Amino acid sequence: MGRPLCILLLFATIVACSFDSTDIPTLEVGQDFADSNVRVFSIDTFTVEVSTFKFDSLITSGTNRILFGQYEDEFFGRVKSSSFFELSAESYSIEDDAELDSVALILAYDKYHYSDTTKVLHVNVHVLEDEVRIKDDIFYNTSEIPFESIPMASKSFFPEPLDEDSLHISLPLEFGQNIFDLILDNDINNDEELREVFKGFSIQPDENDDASVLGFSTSVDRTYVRFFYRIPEEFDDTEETLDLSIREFAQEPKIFNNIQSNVSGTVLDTLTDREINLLSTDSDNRSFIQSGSGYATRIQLPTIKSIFDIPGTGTILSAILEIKPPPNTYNDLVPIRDSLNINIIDQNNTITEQLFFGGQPVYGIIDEEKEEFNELIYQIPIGVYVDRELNETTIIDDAFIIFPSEFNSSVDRIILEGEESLDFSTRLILTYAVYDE
Amino acid sequence: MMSNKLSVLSLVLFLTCTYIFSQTNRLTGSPYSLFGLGVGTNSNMGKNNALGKGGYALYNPDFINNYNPASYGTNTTNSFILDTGFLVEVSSLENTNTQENRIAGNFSSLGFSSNIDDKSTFGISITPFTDVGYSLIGIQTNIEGSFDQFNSNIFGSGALNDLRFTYGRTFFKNLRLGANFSYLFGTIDETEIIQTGISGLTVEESSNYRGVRLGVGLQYDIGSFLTYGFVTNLPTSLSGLQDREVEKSLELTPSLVESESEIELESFKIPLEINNGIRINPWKNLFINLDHSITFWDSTAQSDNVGEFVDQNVYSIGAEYFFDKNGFKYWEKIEFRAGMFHDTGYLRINNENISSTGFSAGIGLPLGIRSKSFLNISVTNNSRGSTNGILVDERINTININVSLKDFWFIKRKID
Repeated sequence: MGRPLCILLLFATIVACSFDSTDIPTLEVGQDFADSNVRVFSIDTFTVEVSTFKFDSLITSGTNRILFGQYEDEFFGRVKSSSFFELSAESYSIEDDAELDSVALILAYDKYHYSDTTKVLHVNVHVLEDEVRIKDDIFYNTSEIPFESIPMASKSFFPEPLDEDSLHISLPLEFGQNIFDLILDNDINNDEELREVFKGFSIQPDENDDASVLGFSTSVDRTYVRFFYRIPEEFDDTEETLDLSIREFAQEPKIFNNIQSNVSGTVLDTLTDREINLLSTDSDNRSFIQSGSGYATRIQLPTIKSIFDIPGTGTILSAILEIKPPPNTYNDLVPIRDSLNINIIDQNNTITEQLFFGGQPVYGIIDEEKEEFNELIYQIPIGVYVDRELNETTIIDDAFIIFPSEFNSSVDRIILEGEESLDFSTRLILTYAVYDE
Repeated sequence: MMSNKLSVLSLVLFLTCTYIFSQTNRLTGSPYSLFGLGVGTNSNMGKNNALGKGGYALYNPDFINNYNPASYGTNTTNSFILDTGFLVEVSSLENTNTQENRIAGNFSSLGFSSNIDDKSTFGISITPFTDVGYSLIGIQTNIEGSFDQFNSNIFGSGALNDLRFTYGRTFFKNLRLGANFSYLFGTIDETEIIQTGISGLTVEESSNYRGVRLGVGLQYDIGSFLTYGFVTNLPTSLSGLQDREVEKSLELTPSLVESESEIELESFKIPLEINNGIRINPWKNLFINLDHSITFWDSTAQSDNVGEFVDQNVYSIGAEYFFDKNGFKYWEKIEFRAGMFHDTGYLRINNENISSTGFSAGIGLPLGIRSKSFLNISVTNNSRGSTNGILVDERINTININVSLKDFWFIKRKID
């Protein structure tokens, strides 16, 4: 007699299962009908402490750029970059009857240029007195190697970093002949033997140059000292070349750049140690960034935790830092980069990590909406950083720093408005969602 | 008795099944179910739905009237009734500028009753108490401190179930008393997804409510053609525990903000409910019911999102007609039912009560010429809310199908 019941149960179960209403209606009825349970706030009243500090030194070895030149900067004084490099050949074999024609240093432009390239720049090629070799295999922007005070060769030129492929500097034939003969006589068979007679070059601008800073490639097949020689034949001579290039193997650096600026007499003069922070309020409401020499803008958010004064439980959904370079501090000659790198530093101003955004490094990007009014403003998404600061239980006095890309191998400068600037104050715009009141 | 035990076992098994399904499947698509613990269910056992959702004075040993526990006290012998229902809700929603159709449906109720002796009957049932099923898309809310807005979508589903134990007894020839004990339980899930710029926040809340509620009822036969029914369901509060998971996507990086379980919620108060009704039986084959129900939501002083709770009155009228119960023809035994109701609503949004008015019609088909088992089909047309301002007007068509099986195992086969 339980049979009808069983049949019924079966029926009902089938019905229940066959009517699975997992699909959810998606049409928009009721969008005005209820409020969100979440309150979202936009807050831009947090203190943003903007300051400038200077790295004691930047690593400039391991670069693929010969940075060379000099110009007078409005804020950083005389900005000078000189380069030091060692040259070697792939193999040291020349036919016995070869005759040297000429020798030249060929530097290939890599298109980087800063300041006025319409002005004449002088390049002086000095022979190094010591080898390009250092303990720990790291050279800095402050490193130097002694070189002969009288240049082996000099050249005045108008830089053509975009229109020409390379810069050609003729070297004295005696210098070339000496090395050429030693190779011919099999006295130079390897790098070590070459190094005993030729340790490398330093290229230096003239002391009073006020022109530009240029980038040259370190590529072995574009930048080299080239020996043009001839092999006499019965009717027509065969022309050959032998190249000495910057050849880096393993960890041993063979090139670095010495990059300096002269800030004596300016507010930046006080930055003698990495741990000194020059508040923008003490430096004309501005902060200063210069690649190569190591000046960077430091941003600290001392009052960020006051967001918890908002009642309820919440979390941040975005954090955008807006900073602005004063329009009169950049132009076509000294342009600003359209993106900035962000790194987190500890209280000793040591970089601890780079900040990421969706798996990619965070960049400050120029807000294109505001660019229309000739007002460049960088927007930097620092939500991940702020979120972490907020979730830290102990107070850690860390901050983040801003500098352009190619910080170790260029001389770009950026001036930024400080937090109390009358023109534009740096601000942090937070979006904060309270989900439990 | 052996098969009886077997059946009870299957019933328990099926109740478990019901519980699971009532958790996952929705019985409503009403945006008004956003408020409180959802909208009162459209699901019903027996005939009540077809009779304008009333019938506090109805009694009959052949069907379960869960509206009044006193009806369980109807004189009977060897009675066992099993009632199972299925509900489909087809609704059309409309506000000032949009119109959309929704459908929801599921197995909805299960109950049985068995008499203990001639004068008393005991029953167990499980029905939905409230239903939740809403999806609000594209809610625009101001970002405080700016002129911008953020977008959010809110989805809700779930139900509160009423597991009810009822006992009713005849005391005098014309007085029946009954009481029920309800265990109200269920889970309401709400997910809100908000989007602001490239960041997003997802709040998933799963709220578990439980509580007990008592009801007592009375039915008094004033004469052979008039019966008075009274039911009160006592106020109670449901305690709530919530599991909450909050996730966000900050600068394209997803992360878990919070995962908490068993957060204690403010308990939800269900107020006193007083129901009165009469049954008029002018002729042998016509029954008319007139009912009024009042629920004192005002006294709970609760409010929710944009709405507040107000006292709710429900007026209903219904009638049932058949040609001849003792007739020889099948069609003479078919029951025809019709009713209407007006519900003033328990919610007030923007100073407007979300009232509803509905009509119902139904038919009861006997499952055999001599059977007292019925297949009941009812159709309810109900409109709720209005299109004024931000409100939503719902036109809901409910189809309730239930099978009421009586005595199918006590009947001895005439011929073996």
